[in-house]
Amino acid sequence: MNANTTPNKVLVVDDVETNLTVFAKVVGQIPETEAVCFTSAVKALEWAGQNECVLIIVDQSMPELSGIEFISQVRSRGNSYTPIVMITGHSEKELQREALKLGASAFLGKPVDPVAFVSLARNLIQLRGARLETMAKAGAAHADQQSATEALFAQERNTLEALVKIIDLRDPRTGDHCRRVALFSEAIASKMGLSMIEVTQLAQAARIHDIGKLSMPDRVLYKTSRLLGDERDAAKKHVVDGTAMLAGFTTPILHAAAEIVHSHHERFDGTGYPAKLAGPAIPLFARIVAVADTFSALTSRRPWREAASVSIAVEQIEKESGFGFEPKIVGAFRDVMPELLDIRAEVPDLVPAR
Amino acid sequence: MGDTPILEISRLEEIFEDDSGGIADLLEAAMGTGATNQATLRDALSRHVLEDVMRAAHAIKGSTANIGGNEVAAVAARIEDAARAQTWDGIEPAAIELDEAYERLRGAVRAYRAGIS
Repeated sequence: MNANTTPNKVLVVDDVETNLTVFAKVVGQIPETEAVCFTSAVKALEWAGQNECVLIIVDQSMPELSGIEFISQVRSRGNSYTPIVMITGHSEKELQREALKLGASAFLGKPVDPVAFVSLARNLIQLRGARLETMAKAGAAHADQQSATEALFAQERNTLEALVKIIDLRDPRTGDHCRRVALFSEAIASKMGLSMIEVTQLAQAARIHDIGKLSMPDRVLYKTSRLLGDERDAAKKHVVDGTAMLAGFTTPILHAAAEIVHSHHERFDGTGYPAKLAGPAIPLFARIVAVADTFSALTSRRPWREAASVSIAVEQIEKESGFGFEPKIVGAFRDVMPELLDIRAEVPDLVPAR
Repeated sequence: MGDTPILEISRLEEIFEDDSGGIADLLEAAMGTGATNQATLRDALSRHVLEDVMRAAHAIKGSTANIGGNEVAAVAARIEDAARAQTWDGIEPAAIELDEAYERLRGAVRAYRAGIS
């Protein structure tokens, strides 16, 4: 966040213009604040990355990004202290729990009661002020914290490289697959318009998306024929084992990696594993990696089958649009196909022909 | 038409205070959005896609509840709930009811404008 911008803005994001008009009026009732309104969640996100605001109000149902996705992206960009109120007509507990997990501060139902809203907003803004004051008082300690954070990030990079090396040593085929998937994911995410920081985080985190395979028994990991019965179950366990391996890491890339590891076999329609998450409940990075992972797997030769041609792989992925995969991601995947083919050429499959 | 008021203006009056011209402008803008939302809902109905019906009804519910268009919002909520429950039961008649309620809401908005000028 930029420190030299006005600190009394309230960012309001709702795709319905008339809702924004009402919010602007209600926000006007909070002393020393003014509303900055966006109908586009993407533009609002961009604004939030460059400006300071004292409160964010976001609707849940929006076409470009849901409220949940918006909150996730604001928090993943390092803004942990601006309170966020989600306005929604939905009353589902699951949705609210998900939003709270991602960093929402409170909910208000539609239509918003102006008295309740102003009271809540004042409290949240005061709370933010108190937190910032505490941070300012920390002074030198804060500077120490910054250098400690930098050291932590350096350590994160080293840890990531070590994990990549371990995967390579245990199974070079998985290592190459992870490399391809990371590069595919990076290309797709760039096409989707994710920020440079997000694209970089995703590209790094996806390098270890199959880290859970480290715990697979040799008879499963190195098996040269199709997996059967309990072997399939053992293979599926890699998402849970991988999540356990990365549990406790809170730095951005390893935290993102843990989400990807856990959810890259979930399906958009909620029939995947391990948690049967659906739609936006699946973390965005995992939704992207799911497409990249499938493309890499389909177009790679296995000892028991030939690689699918690119056109067949694309056809299968398109057929799964809206079922296994998010349509928007499949669209971006199709758009960057020339780039994906270059990546395939650069990181070829290691398995020898039969 | 049930007991739900077609246009409940007290919340907007609380927010806009004495700015009745501002309220009238907002209501008219919402009617413009409403026409677009109605067209989106009709399109979803003609394509018979429940997911799109649910989204369109949700948008109508939110935007009309925001201006106090409670009758339209209530009918839209019924359509949304049915679509969310993956059933077409009652959706077609409710869609007709919705168009009628929207007409009444437009009438109420016109009457509000006339009353302040």
